Amino acid sequence: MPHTSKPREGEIWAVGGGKGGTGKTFVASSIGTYLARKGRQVVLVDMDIGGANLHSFFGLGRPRKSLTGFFETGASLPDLLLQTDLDNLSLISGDIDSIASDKIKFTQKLKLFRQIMRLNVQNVVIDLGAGTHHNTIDTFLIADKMIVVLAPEVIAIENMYHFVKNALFRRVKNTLKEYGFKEIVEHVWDRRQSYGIKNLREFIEYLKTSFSYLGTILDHELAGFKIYLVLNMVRNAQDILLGASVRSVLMKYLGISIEYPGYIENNDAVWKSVRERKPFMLNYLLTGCAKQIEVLTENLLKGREVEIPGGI
Amino acid sequence: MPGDEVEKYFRALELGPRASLREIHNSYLRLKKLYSAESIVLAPLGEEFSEKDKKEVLRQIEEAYAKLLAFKKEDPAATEKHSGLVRPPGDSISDSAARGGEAGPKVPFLRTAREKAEVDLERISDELKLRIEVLKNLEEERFNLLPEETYLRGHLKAYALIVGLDPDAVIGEYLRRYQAWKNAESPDSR
Repeated sequence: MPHTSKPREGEIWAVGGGKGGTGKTFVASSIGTYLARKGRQVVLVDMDIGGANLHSFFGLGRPRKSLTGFFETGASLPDLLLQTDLDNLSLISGDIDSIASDKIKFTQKLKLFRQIMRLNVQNVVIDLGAGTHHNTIDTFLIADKMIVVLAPEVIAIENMYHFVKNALFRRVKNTLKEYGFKEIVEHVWDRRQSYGIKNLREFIEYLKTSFSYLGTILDHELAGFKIYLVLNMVRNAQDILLGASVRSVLMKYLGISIEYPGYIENNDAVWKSVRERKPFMLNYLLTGCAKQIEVLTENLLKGREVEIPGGI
Repeated sequence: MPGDEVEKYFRALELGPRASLREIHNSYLRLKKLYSAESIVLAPLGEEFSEKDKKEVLRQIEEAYAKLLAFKKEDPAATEKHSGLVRPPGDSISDSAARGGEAGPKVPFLRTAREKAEVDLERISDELKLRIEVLKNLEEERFNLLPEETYLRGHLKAYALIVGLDPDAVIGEYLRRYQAWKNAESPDSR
């Protein structure tokens, strides 16, 4: 069966979204913290290779162990866990040489994914780096819950669309390959210009109309491709509604499923502590965001959507 | 209407199959606005989501809205009980309005329609978050106590949806009478 056969009870949540500075690490660490405080066993994995700073969110200095150990000395993930000050919450640092990220071999990547899936905890929360490098996208795609973090501004929205399209393209491609249609996919993709295919949607449409037997697979794949949208740095009710609009556009444009579990207000205290690399989590309960993080995470756990003030 | 068709229309309005009339209406308005104007949500897609695509989305939204309103009217059992969308066949505003008479209604048509639909004021008040007195003033056509026209239109539209009447017809009919009152009123007040 394509892509999911994980003999495990825990869930992997990946937090991505394309643009840097939208607060992915903040969201991932907040979600992880909430889950751990709730009593769940949680491992945070910093996959922002080269730009890793998750550890500093927890007041940890330069980590003595990190994914470097996995890539260079073959250490296994459970050996790389760093305990945080919070019960139930440990993390794996991605603090490795930035040059190394391009050298990650395909087999190493698969091994890493296998080990992430085998971590014996209730929640693995993966913090992804910015951009749409295929390693980032592939990591995003192993998650049970694919979460994108968005700030209410046009560049962040644009990058997020790009990120989601990349992820969907890779998923579609991989799935069709698993079903044995590798040649068709590559054939059409290579000739996309002569077929007048300008974007992912047209590519999918072309496949569906030209190869009717792919229609069912693709429809199933699109419907099952679910993105959880988190809006960060929200300043007013209009910003909150933006989440619903983005949700609508992605559904109508790509035909995928989107849920909007929550948003987090723009909070100066948070950004000050992030910028100064202060351990935000020590202030966790002091910030006005705590309630929104609770709502967001509970909604993620329960598969619910956020209530929008004034209704939609 | 077949079940999967209904589901399709709910999906077009991005709602679950148990959405209330109010939710249908709100979602319709929100989506119509979203796909009728430029925004930072649509702009980044540029030509990938063309004017033609937007038109098609708008068409689907309009269709879904019309179909769902009709569906809620014809099949009250499919709606939540509290929205009370019962509309007797063959009824229309003009019938009720005619009964009300032209010169100041003995039996105001809104109330008539509501009673026929077997919806009580409390339910409407609950659904619309409007006070009972406001609704009574609306029904009894106490024009001097009504809010300004913009609000009035909104109230009428929402009211009409709940009792299963065509909102535009209700607004048209009601405002005609309101206007007549206003015209008659203004020379005296000076």
